[in-house]
Amino acid sequence: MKKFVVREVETLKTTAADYACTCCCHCDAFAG
Amino acid sequence: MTTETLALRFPAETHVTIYPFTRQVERDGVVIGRPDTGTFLSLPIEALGVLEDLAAGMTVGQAQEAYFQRHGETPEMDEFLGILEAKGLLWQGSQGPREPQTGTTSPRTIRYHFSNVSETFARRLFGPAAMAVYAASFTLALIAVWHAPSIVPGRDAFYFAEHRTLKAVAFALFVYATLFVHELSHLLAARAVGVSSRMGISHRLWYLVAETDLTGLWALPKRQRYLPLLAGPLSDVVSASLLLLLLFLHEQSALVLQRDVLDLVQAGCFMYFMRLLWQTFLFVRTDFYFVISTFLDCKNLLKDTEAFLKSRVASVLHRGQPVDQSQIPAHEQRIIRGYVLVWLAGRGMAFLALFLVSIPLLWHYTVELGSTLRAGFATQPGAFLDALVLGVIFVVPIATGFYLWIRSLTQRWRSAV
Repeated sequence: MKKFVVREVETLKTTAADYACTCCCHCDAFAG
Repeated sequence: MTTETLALRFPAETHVTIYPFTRQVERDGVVIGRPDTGTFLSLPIEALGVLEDLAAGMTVGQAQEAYFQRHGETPEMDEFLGILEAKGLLWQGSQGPREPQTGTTSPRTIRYHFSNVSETFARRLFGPAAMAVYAASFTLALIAVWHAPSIVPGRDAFYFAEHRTLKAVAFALFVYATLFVHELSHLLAARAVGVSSRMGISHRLWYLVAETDLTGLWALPKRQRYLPLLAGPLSDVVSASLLLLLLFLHEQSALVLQRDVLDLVQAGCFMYFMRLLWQTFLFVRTDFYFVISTFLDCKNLLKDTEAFLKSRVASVLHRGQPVDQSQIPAHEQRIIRGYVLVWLAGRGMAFLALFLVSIPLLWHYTVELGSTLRAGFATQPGAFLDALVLGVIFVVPIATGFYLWIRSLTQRWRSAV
């Protein structure tokens, strides 16, 4: 019997990180 | 017990109702889906004929026979239709949608954001005239930087020597406002191509993120997905360009920025650089990750790669079951093998940074801020307020990211057990 392969595709959830806050911590610590 | 004696969920005489679905023919099949529930599936293209026959009113047996006539093979229907039923793409009978059957969960319709924004307006924001303006601002910024490289801020821009708390608050507000603008750009670009989306807050590993669900883009041809996926970084580039132009005008004395404003403009500009750097973290789902996986025709690159790694570890350690990925198209399998290196290197570096930098810093901040807060407002009012404000700005987002990450790990562990 022919079996159809069904695959879930990825949810497309674009992002922007609050990476600056992590960097702030790091940079503040290094620069300060 | 033979197959024939097992009760079929969809016997041959069954009629089913197919929910109207979108379809996009891709490199290795067709992606069908329901934009209203955000459910999209990849199928072999010949399976589409079965769905169309069922939608035209054929019974399961008739559709099966029609397929045999076309292709010389009898398709397995029960499991196939069972999957589609579980995903809300069809239901038994011809009377319209029913309550989900026991053992199935029907996906819920998604409540989208800003869906009342007109497509015409959204198309103007991403039309040729607007894109020309964005390109012009970027070009002018490049010329400004070439003319006066000193205007480009470095990481020192994040260090506020004076009025620290006030600037930290103003900067934090700026960060969150621009995060919203970034996500709104994705949403509007998707709106311009007729796709509704939804904003939210989530995490990538332990990083707190704002995200926009653009899953409805799967209903569109591949070439129409790129601009909505890139709209956020595009807005960051344009914004950074405008800030660089401000800094250039200040440097040329054509515009005088007050010291505190100058500090914030420089910090804002550097923040955009960091935000664009984040997009290159391809070992997690960032905007650039999605652009690349779309370009490479991968349906679920990150998840398939993690399944591949888990399978490899299982076979090396002789524990757990290897995962059968033979149904994944050959070109995707090749890309998975390459992406494994990106995944391992990226996550390795991220974890190193976590244990060598982030956790010690977070601990340091928490201890210092904690002791100042415990000393009380009356003892040192200024320091108390500083600690409170900096705690909210720095510690809360980082701690929230960690919490969401650990919660997702425990949820995954519980479902695996």
